[in-house]
Amino acid sequence: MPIEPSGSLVKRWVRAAIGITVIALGLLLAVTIMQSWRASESALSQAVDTDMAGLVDIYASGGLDELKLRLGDRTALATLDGRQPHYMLGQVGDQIIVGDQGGWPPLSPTNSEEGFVTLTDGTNVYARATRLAPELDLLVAREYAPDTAAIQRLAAIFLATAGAIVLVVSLLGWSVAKRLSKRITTISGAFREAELGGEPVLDQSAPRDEIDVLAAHSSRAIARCAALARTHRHMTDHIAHEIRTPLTHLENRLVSWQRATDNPAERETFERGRQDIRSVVTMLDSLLDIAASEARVGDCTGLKDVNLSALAESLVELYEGSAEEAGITFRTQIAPGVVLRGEQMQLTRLLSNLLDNALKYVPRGGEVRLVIGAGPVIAVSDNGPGIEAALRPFVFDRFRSGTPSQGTTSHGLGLALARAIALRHDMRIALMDSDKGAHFVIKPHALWDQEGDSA
Amino acid sequence: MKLLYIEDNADAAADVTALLARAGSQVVWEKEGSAGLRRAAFEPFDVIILDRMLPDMDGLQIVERLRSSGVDAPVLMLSALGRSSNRVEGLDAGVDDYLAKPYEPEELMARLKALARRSEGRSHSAIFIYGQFECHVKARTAFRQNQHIALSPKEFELFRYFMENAGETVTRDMLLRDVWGMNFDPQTNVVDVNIGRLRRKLEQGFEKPALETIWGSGYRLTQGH
Repeated sequence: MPIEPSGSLVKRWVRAAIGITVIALGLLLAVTIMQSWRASESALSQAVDTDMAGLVDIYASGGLDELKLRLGDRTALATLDGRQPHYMLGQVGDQIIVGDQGGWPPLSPTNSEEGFVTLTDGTNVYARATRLAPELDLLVAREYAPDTAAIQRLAAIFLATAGAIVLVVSLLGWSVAKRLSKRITTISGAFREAELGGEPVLDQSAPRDEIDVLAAHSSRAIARCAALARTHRHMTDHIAHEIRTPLTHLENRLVSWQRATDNPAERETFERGRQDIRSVVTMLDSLLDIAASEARVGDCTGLKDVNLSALAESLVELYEGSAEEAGITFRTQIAPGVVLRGEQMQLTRLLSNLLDNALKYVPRGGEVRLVIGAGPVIAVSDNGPGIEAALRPFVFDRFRSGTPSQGTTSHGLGLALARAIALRHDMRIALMDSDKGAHFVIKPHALWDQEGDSA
Repeated sequence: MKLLYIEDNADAAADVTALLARAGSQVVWEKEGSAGLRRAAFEPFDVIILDRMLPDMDGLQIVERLRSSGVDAPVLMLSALGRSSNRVEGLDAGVDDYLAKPYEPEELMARLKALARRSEGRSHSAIFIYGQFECHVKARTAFRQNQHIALSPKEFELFRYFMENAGETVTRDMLLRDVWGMNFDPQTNVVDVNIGRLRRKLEQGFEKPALETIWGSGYRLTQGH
């Protein structure tokens, strides 16, 4: 089965980097604006206080008339920094003596209060009010519109720069992510191709970075696996060929001698010899099949969608006669449409081995049960003598078998082959605990793991 | 029957040649794949018997090249590679039948005859008649001496297979492969049991046997009288 990631690690990292950049720039902007505003406030306060000190001195030295005169002069002046001044001189009881405003702003002269206020004509100012004499209050204010405009310009420039930085980081990040992802996908693709029977070669010339080194190691590992698979294949083919060929000649000679003699005892001896040859060949094939299945775990070549339900139904038709003849009740529970990606013949052999085993070991009057369920889950159980306790841990090992009930012979390879075929199909076979008889269950690793987690 | 046998082992070739000669067939032996290919391209054969592991090329390659060059004679692969996966590979490559060594001589003969018959197109009839037996393929019904025999779907498949190979030996391997789609021996008596059930149905109410057991190799449908 192809392994597909739920997301891209590199893309996640790029998204995180962009997010962190945006947050960092946002914080920097906030701090900059705050500091600029504080500097502006400090400058306004200083300007107002200096102005106020000068006017207090004038009042102290020249009296009210002199103060009125000077306030008029200063009101008429236009400042260079654009912070236009405003002055108000009032008497207790809200009577404004000097000033262009209709009312006193919400600043207490008693406490010499200062702060940002809005004058009655709507002008925003920074102002301080103070009490010059028991019935005389003075307010000095400066407009701060130029400061606000300067801070807004600063923020706009900052945002434009930050936007450009985020854009560059994003483009760079996505470009790097795309390139990294492409290179990693190439390596993954090579492994996938190898799984499907190919022998891909990745570029190994002059590694530029860690990924090139990974590609080179991957390429070597794939080539090594392919070479091992080829060697294994050649080895098993040659073993089969070199053993079967002389056995064929031997059997042909036995056949000739068997035909040439009229002595029944000799014929029987030759026949037993031929049966022994068949037995050796069967054992050899089983051993090679186990080795081949074990060697091909994870190899997807030759796998197709197999209708397990139909396959099981066909085997039931084959085996129900044998069960009936043996006086065994054969019960089945086959869910329709259970499909598994695998090798049809190997899966047939897996089920056939388990059914053969059950029919071999269950005595007359017993029961064998075959269950095929979604998942897929395959279960073959019986109420025969079961597997003896000492054999249970080794029941799937080669050359391990119990004593068949009907005098049939066994090499003890059937369950080892069943296990190897299950593993080849990404499944696991287990001998379950049961009160009576043997109970084998086969299901995908993921289902066993889920069961383990929920247990 | 005229057969081409491509096999590098002289002993194996001698065994098969002697067996087929006794049955009245003519065997041409080539011990190299390339020579066999040339021979098959220029001379007509009823069946080609092919070894799998030849010194100059793989038997599967030979089949592919035979098919691509238009040689459609049926091919039986007779190989020491007899595992289920080897058979699947052979059939996928285009061989018509696959027999593993060591083999029963009768089984080899039965399979060669079946291949020769298949290539003559005798297996596509709608009704098979052999002795007392009739098999109506479309209606999926069986008769013996005009008497209907009730068969289960699988039993009918078995009966039909015997009718298609009427008078010839049908081996257990052939039945497993062609009726149950299995290319391995389950090592239990499942085939014999199913044949026994079919036999009982075909012989019920009749004195003469319908199926005879060919000792050590398989079964043969009789004419029923």
